[in-house]
Formats: sequence, structure tokens, C-alpha cells
Amino acid sequence: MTLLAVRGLVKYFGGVAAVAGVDFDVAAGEVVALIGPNGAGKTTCFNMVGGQLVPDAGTIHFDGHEIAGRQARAIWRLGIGRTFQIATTFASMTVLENLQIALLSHRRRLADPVSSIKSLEIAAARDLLAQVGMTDRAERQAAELAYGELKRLELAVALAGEPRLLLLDEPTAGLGKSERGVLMSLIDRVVQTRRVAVLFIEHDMDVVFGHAGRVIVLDRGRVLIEGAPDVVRNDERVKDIYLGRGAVVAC
Amino acid sequence: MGFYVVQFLTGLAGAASLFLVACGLSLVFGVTRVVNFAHGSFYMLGAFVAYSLTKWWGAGLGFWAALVASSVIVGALGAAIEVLLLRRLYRSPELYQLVATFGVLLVVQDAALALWGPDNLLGPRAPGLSGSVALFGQRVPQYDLFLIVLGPTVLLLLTLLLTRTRWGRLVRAATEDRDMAAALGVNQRHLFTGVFFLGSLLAALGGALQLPRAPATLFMDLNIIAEAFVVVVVGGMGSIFGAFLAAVLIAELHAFGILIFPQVTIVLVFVVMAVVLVVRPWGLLGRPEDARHRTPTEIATPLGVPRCLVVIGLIAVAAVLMAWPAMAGDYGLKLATEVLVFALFAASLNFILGVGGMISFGHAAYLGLGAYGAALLVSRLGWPMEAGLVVAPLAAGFGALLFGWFCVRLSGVYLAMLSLAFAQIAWSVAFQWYDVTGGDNGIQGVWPSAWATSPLVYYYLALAVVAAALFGLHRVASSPFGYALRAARDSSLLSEAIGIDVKQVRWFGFALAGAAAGMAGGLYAFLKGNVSPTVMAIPVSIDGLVMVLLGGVQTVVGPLLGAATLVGLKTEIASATNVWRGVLGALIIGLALLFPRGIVGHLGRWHRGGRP
Amino acid sequence: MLKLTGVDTFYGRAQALFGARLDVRRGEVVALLGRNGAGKSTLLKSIMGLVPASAGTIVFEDRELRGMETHRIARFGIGYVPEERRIFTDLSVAENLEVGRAPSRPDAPEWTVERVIELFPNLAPLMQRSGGHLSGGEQQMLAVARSLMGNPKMILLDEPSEGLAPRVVEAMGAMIVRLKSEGLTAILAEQSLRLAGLVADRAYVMESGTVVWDGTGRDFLADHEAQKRYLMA
Repeated sequence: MTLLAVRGLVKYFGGVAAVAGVDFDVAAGEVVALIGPNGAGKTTCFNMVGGQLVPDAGTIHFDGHEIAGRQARAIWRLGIGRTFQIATTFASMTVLENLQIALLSHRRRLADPVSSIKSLEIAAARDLLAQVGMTDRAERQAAELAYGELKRLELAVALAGEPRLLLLDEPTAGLGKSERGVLMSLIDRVVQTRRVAVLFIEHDMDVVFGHAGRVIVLDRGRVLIEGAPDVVRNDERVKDIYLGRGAVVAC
Repeated sequence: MGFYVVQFLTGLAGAASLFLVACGLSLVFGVTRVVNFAHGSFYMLGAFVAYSLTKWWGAGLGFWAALVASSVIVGALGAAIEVLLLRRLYRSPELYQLVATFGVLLVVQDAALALWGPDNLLGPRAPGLSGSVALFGQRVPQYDLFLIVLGPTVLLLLTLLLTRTRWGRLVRAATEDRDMAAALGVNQRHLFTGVFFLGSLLAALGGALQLPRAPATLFMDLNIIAEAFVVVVVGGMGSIFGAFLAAVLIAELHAFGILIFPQVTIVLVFVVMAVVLVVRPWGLLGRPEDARHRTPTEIATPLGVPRCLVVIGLIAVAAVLMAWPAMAGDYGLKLATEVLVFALFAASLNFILGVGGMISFGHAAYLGLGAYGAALLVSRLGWPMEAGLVVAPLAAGFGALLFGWFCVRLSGVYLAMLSLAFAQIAWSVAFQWYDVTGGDNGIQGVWPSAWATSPLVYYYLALAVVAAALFGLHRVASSPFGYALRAARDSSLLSEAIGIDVKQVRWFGFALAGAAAGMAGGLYAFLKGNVSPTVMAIPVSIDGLVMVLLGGVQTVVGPLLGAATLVGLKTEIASATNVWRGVLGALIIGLALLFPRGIVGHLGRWHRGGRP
Repeated sequence: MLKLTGVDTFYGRAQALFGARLDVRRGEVVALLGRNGAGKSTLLKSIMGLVPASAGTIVFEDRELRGMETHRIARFGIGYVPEERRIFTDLSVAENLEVGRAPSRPDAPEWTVERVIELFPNLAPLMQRSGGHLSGGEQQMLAVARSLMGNPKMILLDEPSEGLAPRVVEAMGAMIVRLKSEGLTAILAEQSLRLAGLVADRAYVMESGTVVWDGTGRDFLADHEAQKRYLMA
């Protein structure tokens, strides 16, 4: 079943088309990687699906709703959670509070100016924390976490909205080899247990080919090719954009 | 017809100085990203120095020579301040930069008082231009015509300087992308000092030019800076032509507003500003704030108190507050009540600053709205104190809802400037609307109900109200709503991505803080027995910020300690010397210089072993 | 001419460079290869002092650059062409060149507006156009031209071929060859061999913030296994 359907997506920055007509689908429960060289338009696509940017043209259907141009907060309520290229959390709060606030927002309880947050959504927050393996970090301030932990916290915050689609922008960037493994196996587990679809941007090809069920390659704002990892890996055009064989031959 | 043309010309003449000051401010901000409060001081000094030089050199050609000399002297002073002070603060949080330059303003104020005395200085007529010209049967001063020509001339010269000289091109390049300019070998330091010189020079010239039109006073600095903020916000930060347009617009509003709506000209300014900001949030010719320019906001807690000390402090403070009446006389009780009132004021500011991450430079507006709300109800309608104390937070809360709607759409220094401009508008309304507010004299006879007239009873009343309000603020800060506000401060990007309506949350937070400040204002009115526009003047807003900085941004006890320290210091310094402003200013500058990133930032850096 | 050893660089708390090294001799074109996020841009920014390195040494002609201010580094004769080009959009093309201008130095080729225009004839008709109204390729040319105006001894090019059509890439290659013939040293950060394959004398390959391979350009072109491993999969 198609969960996300992107058609004819376009975004200009100062007259230059960063995304120049992109189409792709993501099915429920599917894990899809979005790859391509710098400036291919990957993050721009993400930001349009997540509501951080308003597309100049095109449609984005998610689960029966047209979401192109809608506010990020509305998109989140429809069931799309996301992480950012540079891990973003609420730095002044503890790990647990980060999760409480996301859970409270999900249950629409943030307008309450009277109750103390100390006792709210604790069980659910601890449960999420356990899922990302950070139970022992509950009382730490987010600003004090190691980068790998920060990324896991960010993932847990995104899961608090019980999303059916997760957008992960470079989940392993800035992490060492072993931390990458920890994070990716975590994501695999989340996919299995929650039946959530994942669309992720990634540069580490081991991660891409090790975890994605399907790969979409963007180049200069367009989809160059999409398909199973093996097909993409051996495609001549992909080799061209990454290795630049055309130019070498021309020389 | 002729009358209107002449009125229009008067407006244009008035725009000249305003434009000079505003474009200097805008230029300096564009390159250094510092909003310079002391800019108004340069305007004032320009007038004072020119006055003295004219006296010295004689009134003949001396005036014109003094005009030039005064601008250059003050320009050099501005450059010196940049080198000695601001250069150390470029990487500090915005709040520190603003507060430090306000410290400079205070020091300059007292220095000017010491050098020139408290009296208004009447300048000379401009030699050669002292007559007037007949136009449509009306008489227009020649000097006004000179100013009308001067404004566009300066605009043209500045435009030429910025577009035709190498220096100007470097300034524009650095305004757009400082780092890239540096990567091309442009030395930012020289450029910044140069821009500061130019900006200060323009401000001084603007001040000196006003001499033949109006006397030089010690209030010129704050009056002009607020107006300049309005001009810069309306015209768009960093745009010189925008500053010119806005200066003309504002000056014409004043010129014609007086005809139509004499009491509340300033309301017109508010309406225009509001309309411009709704249609174009970044001003007429401004551009959206570039994320590249934003300094990473660190949460500043200069004298922050560790958590364990907070509890001990709370108990100690409560003990002192309860026992105070036994130790103090009536005077001591009134002083203590004032500390309580300002503690609530500081705590409410702390709420939007610390919890909400919004720098308000006009928080006194809400203190004032509360005070005036209560005072008007009691003195004009004859209602009792109790009703006044209920209305105070409501009036202020309503005002904060109105102003806040615009403020929360901006951030950082833009928000700071806009909030200050709104406060100045509220001040002007109180000042100008004589029939209702009593103008400068204010409202007298705002006394408590019979049962609360004794200082002791009023002290306990204030203690109860303030304690309840502080508890309430603390409660909200630790509620889901308070955390939503914190979330919006920490990362508005992530907040929106998890379903939080950032603007709305910040708006309600702003209004709540305004209401709490209004509560303090109500108490203040009945404590003093009268209300005057001073209660919402800029220095009161800054006092609030200093209290918050002294006490630490994120503690409950902090505002109390900050208020006690500042009220105490002021009383002490004021009784011991007459230069309390200067001392306070030096203190503020010292605080900002010693801890340019906040103590927490320093400790953090030291902790990480010197890594930034 | 330029030697980096053990350079560590952080963005906030995320470490981007782990003991990176580099050695560039006078008159060479050195390619700095690697995938997105491998640390190439950060390395160039660390050389320029735009992102300060927290450990290691960066020595340019016997001077330690680490800890020095960016404008001083630029004045020692290092030109920088950033990945995002960072054209001053408010300024015209001519003004952009003016901002880059610096006094000539005895040991580097001297550039004037005329010579730069001769190198990039496409810019000639655009001199009065604002930097914000240029195409990607034009911006790239201007960014290079602007840094040449500072008469650098060495130029750092961060992904100059990104987003450019093949024909433009070839022109860019010819341009680099010409600059080299005039005695300019260059570091060329690239994700692909499109451009680097044309001009590089030697290559360093980066992965996860550190240098994992180095050798002559010819060796790298011959080593298909390394190409596949480090650039693609």
C-alpha cells in the first residue's frame, strides 16, 4: 500500500531549481534510502515532505491527505516524524523531559499551564527510552550527551508521535563506525516492531546497501534511477555521477 | 493649501536628523550585528560638543566649523568605544551587547551632566540661515530648507560612499557575509572600527544639526534612540534608503498628526508601524534575518546559583521577608515593598527571557500599563484598591497580547528593538494624552484602601501578592505549557516538527509575563500613591534586565536577589553620590566585560579544556 | 608548501576531522577526494581558519596557520573558493572582483580585472550585473575569479564542478591547467573524478574525517578497487 506519494515536486532557491520535478513513492513499512551527490536536492525534498519548506510546485500525498505546503506541526500530527542532519533536541531539558514534551504534544496536553510536568507521561517516556537503550541516561541534560546518544534521543523523540513514516536525515553522519552500527540496528528493530516506514538520506554506502529495501538516486534535482540496491549499485549512470567516468573518458 | 505644504516641509526638515541617526544605527548593525544603545548618546554628545565649540569659536562661522568638528570628535569617541568595549563582545549573546551599550549610555549621561550641567542648552541660530522664506503666504525658516536639502544629500553621499569606493564595497560585502569577506583577506577589525566611526559621526551630526531648532537636553539620547529604533524597524535593518523612507514617513506623521490628532500623534506611528510589520515583517526594504549571522544563543546566567543553594536561599529569603518588619521602620518597609514589587517585575521578565528566550527591551510598558490601569480606575472612576489590583494585570495582559502579537514574529535583536519601540509608544501615550493620563504630572492620589494604608499592612499585602504571583509563574514554568515555551526557545525547528505552535506558545507566554508585570505595576501605583510616565520609560525596562542578569536567568530566588541588589545599590549610590547612573553603567559594562559569554559559558569552556 | 598533520576539527560537539594530514608541494594540483561528509570541506575550512582546528599543525611556508585569523591566512596568499560559492549577491560582478583584490606579491602571478576576464570571457558582459542574478556556472567562475584577484600562491577549490554541465567542467579543467602553468598551486576537493581525473597530479582520499589513501593521480585512476570503495560503495 502506498503511504507517501510525491509527484512533480519543485523548489527554487534564488532562480536555481534545487529540486526540479521529483516523483517517488514509499509504501507502508518500507525502508527507502535517498542518495545522491551534494546539491542533488535530497534535504530540500525532505524539508518539503516534513513541512519545513513550501514547494513551488508538485503534490505530496500522505495516507490520503495532501500535505504539500502544510505546516510542519500539522504534518507531524498526521504521522510523519523526522530527525535533522545536525541532531536537534531540546538542549536545556533532561532526556526524559525531551520525551515527555513530545508525548504531551502528541496527546495535545501542552496547553495545560497548571500541572507539574514531573509526573506526566513518565511511563511512556521511560518505555521509549528503553527502546533506544538509554534508560540509564534519563536524568541527563540533553546538552551533556555524547553525539551518538543525542542521535538516539532524537530518534526516540520522533517516535513519540507514533509515526507511520520516519524521515531520517543522515542518521549516521558524525558518528564513528561502531556507533553507526548501534544506531542502524536500532532503526531496523523499530521498523520491525512498529511497522513504520523509513525514508532516509545517507552517504555511508555500507549503511545504504545494508539496510535499505529500495534506493532512490537523486542528481541535480531529479530522480536519476530508483530500484533494488543491487540494481542501483551496478547501474552505469550511478557510477558516472559518483566516479565521473564520462569526464575521464572524454580526457 | 499653503499651510499643508509648509507643514509637509516642516516634516521633511524634522526627518533629516532622524535619518542621520537611524542610518548610522542601521549601518553599524548591518556590519557588526550589534544594536548600539549608546548611539543616542552620540547624538546627544554631538549637540553638546557643538554647543561648547560654538561658544568658544564665536557664533559667526564658528557654528558651521563646530558642526563638523563635533561630528569628527564624537565619531572618534565612537571608534574608541568600539575598540575598547564592543570588540570584546562581538561573540557574546545579544543580551550582553545590548546591556553593555546601555551601560555606556548611562556613563555618558552622567559625564554629560558633570560637564555641561543639568540645564537645557539653547543653541545659536545658524549663521547665514537665521531668516525665513515666504512660501504660499507662509513663512518657512531658511534653516528648515537647509535641512530638507541636507537629508537627501547625505543619502546620496552615503550611497556613493558605499557603491563607489573600495571601502564601501568592503562594508557591503561584510554586511552580507563576514566570513567570506575575511577569507578574501578583508580585516574585519578595521572595517568595524571604521563603520563605527562613520555611524557615530552621523549620529553626532544629527544632534548638532538640531541645535538651532531645539535646546540640547540630557534626555535627547533616549528619546532619539527609541525613535531611531522605530525608523530602523519600519525601514528595514541595514537598509539606508529604507531608513530614509521611514524617517520621512515618521516625521511627516508627526507633522500632520499634530493637526488631526494632537494628543496622541504617537498612536498614528504605532498604527503605521503595525501595518508595515504585518505586511512586511522585516521592514519596508529589509530582508529576513539570515541564519548565518545569528550568534549561537547561549543562555546567559552570569551569577547563576546552584540548585541546592536555591532551596536554602528560598528559606533564608522567606525568613528575612517575614522578619523584616520587626527590624525596619516605615522607610525600610517602603523600600522592602519596592524590592518586592521589582522582584515580581524582574521575575516576569525572567519568564519570557529565561523560559521563553525572548529578549524584551520594553518590559516596563506592562509595569506601566498595570500601574496606569489601576490608577485610572481608582482616581477617575473612584473604584477601590482591590478592583485596581484586579484590573492591573488584566490591562497589562491585554497590552501584552496586542504588542506581543507583533513581537513574537521576530527574534533576537529585532524582537528587542520592536519591544522597546512599543514601550516607548506606550510611554508617549501616557506622556501626551494629558486629558486622561495627566501627561507629565501623572495621576496623583492613588492610595490603598483604608485597611491597607499603613506601610506594615501594605508590605504584607505586597508580600502575599508577590509570593503568590512568583509561585504562579514558577508553577507555569514547570507545567506542560512552560515546557512548550522552553522547547520553542531551545529549538523552534524541532518544536514545530513535534506539533508545537511556536508563535502561539510564545504569544501566550509573552502575555502572561505582561500580566505578571502589570500585577507588579498595580502594587507599585498604590505604594507610591501616584503614577507618572517614568514608570514605563526605557531605564525601567533596563533596570529589569539588569536585575535578571544580576540574579541569574533561571532561578526563582534570582529576581528577588537581583531586585534587592539593584534597588539597594541605587538607594545607596544615590544617597552617597549624585552620579549613580554612571556607577551603575560602569557596573553593567564591567559585568558584560568580565563574563562576555556569561559565567556558565565560561565554566563550560574551561570544563571542555579550552575548546570553543 | 602546505603541510597538515594530526588536524582535529569539531562542529560544536560533533567531530568532523580525526587527525587529518595533507602535504602539498609548490606548483602541484592536489585532488582531495571522498564522498559527501568525508571531511573535505571541513579540511579546507580549517586551513582557512573558518572552522578552527582544535589540534594538529597547519604549516604554510614555514608559518603555523592554526589559531590565526582568517583574513591573515588569506593575506599570506591562500585563495578560497567555497562549495556554496558565497558570491556577494548585493554586489555587482565587478564589485565582487574588487572585494577580492589585494596587492600583488613577488612570488605569485599577478591578476588584474582584464586578465581575469580573459580567463573567463563569459564574465565580460556581466560586469554590472548583481551577483544574485548569475547562473550556477557563472557564479562558480566569479568565485574563482574573485579569489584570483587576491593574487594567491595557492588556491583551495571546494567542489568547483558541483552542479555544472559536462562542457563547463571541461572548461574548468582547462582553466586549472592554465593556472598551474602560471605557477599556482591548487587543492581541489571533489566527490568524483569528473574534474579531478583531468588535472590532478596527486590525490588524497578522505573517509569519515581522515585521510585513508594517498598517491599519484595516475595510480588512483588505475586503482578501480579504491575508486569503488572510497568514492562510491
